[in-house]
Amino acid sequence: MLRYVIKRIFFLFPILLGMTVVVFLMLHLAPGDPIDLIVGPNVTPEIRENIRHQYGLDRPLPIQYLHFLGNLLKGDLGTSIIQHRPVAEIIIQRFPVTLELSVAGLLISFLVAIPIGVKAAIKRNTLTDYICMVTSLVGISMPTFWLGLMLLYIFAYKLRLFPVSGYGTWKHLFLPALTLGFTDAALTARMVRSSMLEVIRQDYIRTARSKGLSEKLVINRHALKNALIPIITLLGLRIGWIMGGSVVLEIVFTRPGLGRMMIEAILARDYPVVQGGMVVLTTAIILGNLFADLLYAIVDPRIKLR
Amino acid sequence: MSTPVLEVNNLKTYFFLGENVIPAVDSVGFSVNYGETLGIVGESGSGKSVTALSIMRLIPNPPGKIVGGQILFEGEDLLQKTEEEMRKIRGNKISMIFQEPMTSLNPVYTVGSQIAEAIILHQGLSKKDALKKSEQLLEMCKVSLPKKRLNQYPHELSGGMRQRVMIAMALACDPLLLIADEPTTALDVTVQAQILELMKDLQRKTGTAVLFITHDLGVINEIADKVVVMYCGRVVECGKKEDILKSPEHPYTKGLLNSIPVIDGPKKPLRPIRGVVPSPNEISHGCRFRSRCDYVMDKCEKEPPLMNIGDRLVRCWLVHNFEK
Repeated sequence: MLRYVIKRIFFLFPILLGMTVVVFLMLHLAPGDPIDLIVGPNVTPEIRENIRHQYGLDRPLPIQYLHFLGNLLKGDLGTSIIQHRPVAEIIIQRFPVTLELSVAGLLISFLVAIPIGVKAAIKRNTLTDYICMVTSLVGISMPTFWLGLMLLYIFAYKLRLFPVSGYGTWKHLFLPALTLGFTDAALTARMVRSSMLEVIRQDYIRTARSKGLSEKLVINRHALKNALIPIITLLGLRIGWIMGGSVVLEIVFTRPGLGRMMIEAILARDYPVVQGGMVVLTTAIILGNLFADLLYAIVDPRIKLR
Repeated sequence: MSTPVLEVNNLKTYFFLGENVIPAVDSVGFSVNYGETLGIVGESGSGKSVTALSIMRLIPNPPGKIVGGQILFEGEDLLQKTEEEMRKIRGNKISMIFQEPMTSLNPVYTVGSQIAEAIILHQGLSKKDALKKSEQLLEMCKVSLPKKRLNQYPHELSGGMRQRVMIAMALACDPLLLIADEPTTALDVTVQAQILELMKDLQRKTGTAVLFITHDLGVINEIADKVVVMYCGRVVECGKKEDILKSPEHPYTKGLLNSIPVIDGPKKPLRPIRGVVPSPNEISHGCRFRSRCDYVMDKCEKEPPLMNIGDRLVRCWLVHNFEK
């Protein structure tokens, strides 16, 4: 187990390094001159060159990259062109808002999806199954932002049970987390159902029954743990999806998260902020994947051998 | 003679697949005495496993259903029991080992916890005591390093070792009856012999009755006291092992015996039974073996009853003719 963990963590470094290269190149090879953004087009070439030198933009690309990487390792993500504050400081403020929504969404998704998926599998081809599956199909087909708007309209605007926007209390978190959780749960429930159907006809389930275990124990102890293995494998992939979803919902629910920060920065061409935001978001997704992999190893003992 | 531990009468287990009704087990009857080993032989599809699962009441429903008969265990009909009552019998008084040791153990739990589970459930022992007993059971089943095995996962063990674990699990609550559904089929011959030896040895020690299902008459010769030969869901011959193996009456039993290669003794050509087991919807009437039988006659259009010949039962018109 320990060897597996060390191996996984070791593999993080090349992935993170590759990520920084991609983020760096994406912004530097994009069309447009950043100097234009800083000073506008109506200055003398001399001043332009001065500023270019000041930002280190006149140096060769590999040197610029190493400079960027060196600063990154020191925790320095540069300075916002618009806000004139360190990017790291802005992100530290914004990131918890996004993380909170992603984690809450994922929790709601699992709490809803697992019981529904299991129930649908046990009651396969009955009315219960059909209702669960049609509901989840509706959930999958609904765009996140639309569901968010509808929930806002009903629960915040009409019923006035929750605040329309903002950040801070659980009431602010509830509607966006529900939106995110529900759409994700729709997909997860289907995966749980098919995985459960696969597990239920395995020989070891028959063995469990032959021991005299109640159906509840057979399902909850013997079947569920096996059925969750593929779900956990996909968790790694879905973490990116969830993070993306929360970025969209930050716009709908006007939450001051990383997603809003990115969109504002892109619109204002505040490229150090965009770059820093990308680094932090992708790192979060990579770490999320690591978490899923480790969880996978805990649930499936066979994994430690590989 | 004392009452048998298990008596199956007229058992009918049918599978309902759309329009088709498949009589997988059709009016099967036999009995197993305390401490005795009954072998059930037959080709694939003869209804052996379905019979075993019927006794455990573990027939997947749908599509399967026990539609008639009696399964008397210690004089009580298991078919009249509620699911709750059945659970107290399964793994406790009747337990079962399966054909595939590779897939019959849950991959995500340790060997120890899987054996201890039934002990905790049926005997109410604490987890600690149950694990201690599991260790003893593994030792009894001649598993090397039993203490270490408790904390291992099934994938860390070989096939033979896993089957020993299955046996330990089945014997955990000292059952009166052990149903073994082809427990050696998936194993190498050498391991097969070891497992058979172990089962014989354990039976001598524990006095558990065994219902041993196999398609291998060699295995029957090793382990059984009595033999039931099944074909297409029917009992075709039933009697003492010695009688059946030495002088089979039913053409099917004869065919099975002729299909076994002999290592020592004069070399004679194998004579396999021609044709294949008919699929269940091909059986309409008459003797179910007649399409493959060398002795088929007009009378076989009508199905023969099970007839008493000495102390054995045979379902064939040939015997009927001899009788007269």
